[in-house]
Amino acid sequence: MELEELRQRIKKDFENTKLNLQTLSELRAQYLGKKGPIQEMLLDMKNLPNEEKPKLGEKVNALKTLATELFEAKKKEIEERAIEEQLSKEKVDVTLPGKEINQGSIHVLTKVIEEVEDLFIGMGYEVKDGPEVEQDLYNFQYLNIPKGHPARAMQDTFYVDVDRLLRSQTSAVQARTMLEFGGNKDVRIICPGRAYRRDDDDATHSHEFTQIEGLVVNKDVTMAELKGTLTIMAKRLFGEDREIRLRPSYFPFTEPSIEVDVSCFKCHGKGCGLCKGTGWIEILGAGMVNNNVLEMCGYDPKVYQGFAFGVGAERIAMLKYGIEDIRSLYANDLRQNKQFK
Amino acid sequence: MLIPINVLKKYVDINTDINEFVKNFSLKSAEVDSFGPFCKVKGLVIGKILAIKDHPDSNHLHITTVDTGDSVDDIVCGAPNVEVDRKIIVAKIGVELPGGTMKKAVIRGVESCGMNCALDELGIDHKFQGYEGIYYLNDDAPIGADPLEYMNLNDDVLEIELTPNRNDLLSIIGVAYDTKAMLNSKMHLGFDNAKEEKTLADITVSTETENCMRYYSKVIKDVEIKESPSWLKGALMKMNIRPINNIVDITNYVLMVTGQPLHAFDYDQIKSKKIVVKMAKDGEVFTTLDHQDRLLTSNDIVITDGETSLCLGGVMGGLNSEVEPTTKNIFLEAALFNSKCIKNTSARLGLASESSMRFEKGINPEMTEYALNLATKMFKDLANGKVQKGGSFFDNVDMSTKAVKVSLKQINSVLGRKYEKEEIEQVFSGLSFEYKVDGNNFTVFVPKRRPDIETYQDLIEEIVRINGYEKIEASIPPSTSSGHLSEYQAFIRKIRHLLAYNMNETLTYSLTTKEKATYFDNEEYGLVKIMNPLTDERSYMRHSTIPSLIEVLKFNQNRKNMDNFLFEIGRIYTLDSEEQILSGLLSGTISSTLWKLEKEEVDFFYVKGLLDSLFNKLGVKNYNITVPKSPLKGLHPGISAEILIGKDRIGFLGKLHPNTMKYFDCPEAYVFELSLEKLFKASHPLKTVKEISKYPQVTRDLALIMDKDVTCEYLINEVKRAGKRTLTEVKVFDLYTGLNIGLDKKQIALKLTFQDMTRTLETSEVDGFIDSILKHLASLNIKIRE
Repeated sequence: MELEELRQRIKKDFENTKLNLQTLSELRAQYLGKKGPIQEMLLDMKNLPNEEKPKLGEKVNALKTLATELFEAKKKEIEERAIEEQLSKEKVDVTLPGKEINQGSIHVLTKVIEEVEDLFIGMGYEVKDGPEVEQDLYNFQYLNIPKGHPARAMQDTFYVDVDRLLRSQTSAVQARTMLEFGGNKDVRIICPGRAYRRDDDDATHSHEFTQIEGLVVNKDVTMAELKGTLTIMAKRLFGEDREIRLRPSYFPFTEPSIEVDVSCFKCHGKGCGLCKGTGWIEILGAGMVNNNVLEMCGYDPKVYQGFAFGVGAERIAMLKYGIEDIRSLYANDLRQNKQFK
Repeated sequence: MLIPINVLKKYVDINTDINEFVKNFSLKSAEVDSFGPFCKVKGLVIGKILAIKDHPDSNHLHITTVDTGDSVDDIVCGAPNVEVDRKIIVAKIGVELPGGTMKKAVIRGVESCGMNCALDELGIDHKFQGYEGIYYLNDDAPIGADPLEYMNLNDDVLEIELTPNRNDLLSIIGVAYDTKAMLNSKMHLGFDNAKEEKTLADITVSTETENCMRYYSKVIKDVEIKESPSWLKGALMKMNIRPINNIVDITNYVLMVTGQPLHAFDYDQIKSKKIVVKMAKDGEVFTTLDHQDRLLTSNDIVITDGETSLCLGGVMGGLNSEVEPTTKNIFLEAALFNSKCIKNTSARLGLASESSMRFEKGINPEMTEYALNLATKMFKDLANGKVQKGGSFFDNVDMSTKAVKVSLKQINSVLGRKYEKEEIEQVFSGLSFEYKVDGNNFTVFVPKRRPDIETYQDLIEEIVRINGYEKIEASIPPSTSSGHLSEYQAFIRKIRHLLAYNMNETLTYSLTTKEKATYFDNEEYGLVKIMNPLTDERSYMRHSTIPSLIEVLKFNQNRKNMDNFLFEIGRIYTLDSEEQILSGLLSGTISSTLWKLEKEEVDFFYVKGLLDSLFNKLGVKNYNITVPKSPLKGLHPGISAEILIGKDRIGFLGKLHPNTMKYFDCPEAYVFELSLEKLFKASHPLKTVKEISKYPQVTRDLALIMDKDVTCEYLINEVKRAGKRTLTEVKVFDLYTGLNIGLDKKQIALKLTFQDMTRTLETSEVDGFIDSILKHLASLNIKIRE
């Protein structure tokens, strides 16, 4: 039968594996075009008796659907094959090295400062700083260290003139902040910054260094709260299972004054080279603000009390990352700097 | 301060394990620098040289026959001072010495069974021996016994570091007070004064200056000057004092025990029989006992016989009244001098001693007579002196104690712990403070030895340290405010973290040389100069961080770190102000894919683009990177630009000038410097979004030819000026120079974007815009390429 024969031809032609997009579309025109056999059959149908029309119509339409489906399927197949071919041509060795972009880094001291700042910001502190070329007044006198005080010998200082110096401690910012706050506002600040001492540089001394000071002044802050605050800092910086211990010390601006040791994170208190066998490592100085300081800075010591602490960012960085020579922090050997992301 | 445990134990009971005591000391009193045996050698023995023979095969070695109690052995000895019948320290076979283990040896054919020791062979400083060769013990040393025990060197020494407020710990007795308080033990201060002769001490003392507040004296006659007993020599060595003879050693020992300096004069040199303390005459020359002539001023205290100066008070004795081996009679002084005078004299003459140091820091006035009496007793016991009755003195020291009040409420509110009254009282009585209790209020009568205690805060420190810091339980202050970085601080952090993607942050010193401090300065300003620098290298505060970055570049290139992309957020300084700046230095390859032969080297436009994108991220608008009005010092005049906000210069960038590279001996590099505060002021955080046009944009490319020295900035400004509101963007996409357009010309290709917010632009409209732009440019002698 003619219809059946056409069906077989269509199937055979559309399944030809050599078809490409061009020949496929020619094939479609050949079978489904206006002058194609299917169209012809549909046109011929009007010559048929009415009762035969639906039967044949159904068959021709089925053939048309088949041809369309076969075309679509083949088209999809050819397109997919083309993409496959393209993909396999474009394939690269993904194990070749990527573009080398200079590896950036932040300095270990700013890393430490930001870590400490963030910790204290979380506890409600503000970050404050002041000038490095400072007046003797703020660096010493307001901190209960008048001219001629023996504590000045503890910090050999660079002077610019009789009244001006390179600040030997960022505590100078504490005095400035208290005076700025005017004696009736609670103070809760952290002051990171550069300080200067007239020390010869060696593995553990640097004429310039980074101090982070903290100060809390309010009506009821206590030594117990100082201990708690410093415990949190020690744990955050050196590990959750760290403990601290307090020892008596002396700073003219605090009374009582303490040194703070952290339990050795290398030997966990058993005693090793790092902690010189004691199980403890000295990390900072602290204390309750001396009443003379409160008073000179405008706070009534009968109403207000405070605590203060100061820690060296270099010391933390060196302990935490096993850096042996403080000078390496300012030499900026990129092989060291690049390790701090 | 060195504290030999055996000496401390004379004055206070140590009723606990010694290591526990040392740990306690650091937690309750002062920082412990070191603790351990003075001499670590074990198994030494006292021997006696029975005979000495010359070594048959050496002209300097001897064979000594040594009796060590258990045995008599031959020991080959090279010391130049061997003497028969003398007592010595013997290290027998097997003893571990600092230089190695003692082994039986055959020295040039003679067997030697050990070594006759010098002190330095035991690890003890040679200065304590004072002569070459083997060390001789006193004749009473028992053969066969442990020499370290005999010499009083078998105990541990505690070394403590003192803070400036605790000068009371500069004496063994001072340390004993703290020890007693922390161990709750007993002190032993009492002794019987030396029995006195009937004859009176016949030297009168007086002062003509208020700078001597107190002067007590004794006269001791017929002293036998000789070596000190071994216990005394040992005690001094442990406190780092070289034994001299019994008179000097006694005054030194009493000084260390009591903290009160003493001075012994040769009594027979005080011919006037009177002592007058005065201020020296300006220009007076005085010979101190170290044979140096000292030029004195009227600020120096001198002890005189009325006419002649005999001693530089509190600092050093005079040669004319020195105690010598032939001295028979002693005049002994225990005085208090003005600490400022002593400080000045000692500093001016470069004379510092254990005595002057203590006078400078202040001395416990409770110990003056005690020290005098203790030394007098020792002169009698150890030098067979005859103590003359009484002793002239004057005393203008106010000995009344000061009362300091503290309440239980104050203690608890400062420390954050509830103390029992009994705990407080235990601390006060432990420290031997007299006190009164009235309800919950304490009044403490502070002893003279503790001038550091002036306020209730000082008393609270005594309570918390002696009671123990470990008893304070940690708590956290309740947070009442939300902490945050200021906008400026957050801005700085953002810059740091943006740049740290592919640049390396450095921190460098602010102190530098004058040349480097000012190298990149175009104008004069108040340079910060240090009055007392340590070195010229660190004598000025920098006014640019670029020299420091160049140093970092060189440091790294010397270590084969060739590519340097450095930035620093630091300060620069003038006498009037400090400015936080951002600076950078870029040199080398910023990125590469070597196997594709692709490499991006830094150039001016990389740095400029870096700053453009940084400014964009920071919301800095209306900045202009442009040709500097005058050449920037230190930079390539044709490859450098200044960065303006309005008319204000906020920074610069550029390539280092060849002369700069020569000066710093550094390779090619690009640098920039920016004022962070000015940058911050120019940054505008986004408030509302900018509307995006819904209508299509039209782009047109123009290739324009102009004179070579016309800047791109000028061209774009003119294009924008001639363009209408719809000209939304002008971009440069090509630069061309070549013979075909003329050597004095250049061609810049621009891509112009037109867009309207309210409608689609017609082609003819855009043609019109372009025409009027070209017309304007033509009037400026800028022509479109045909």
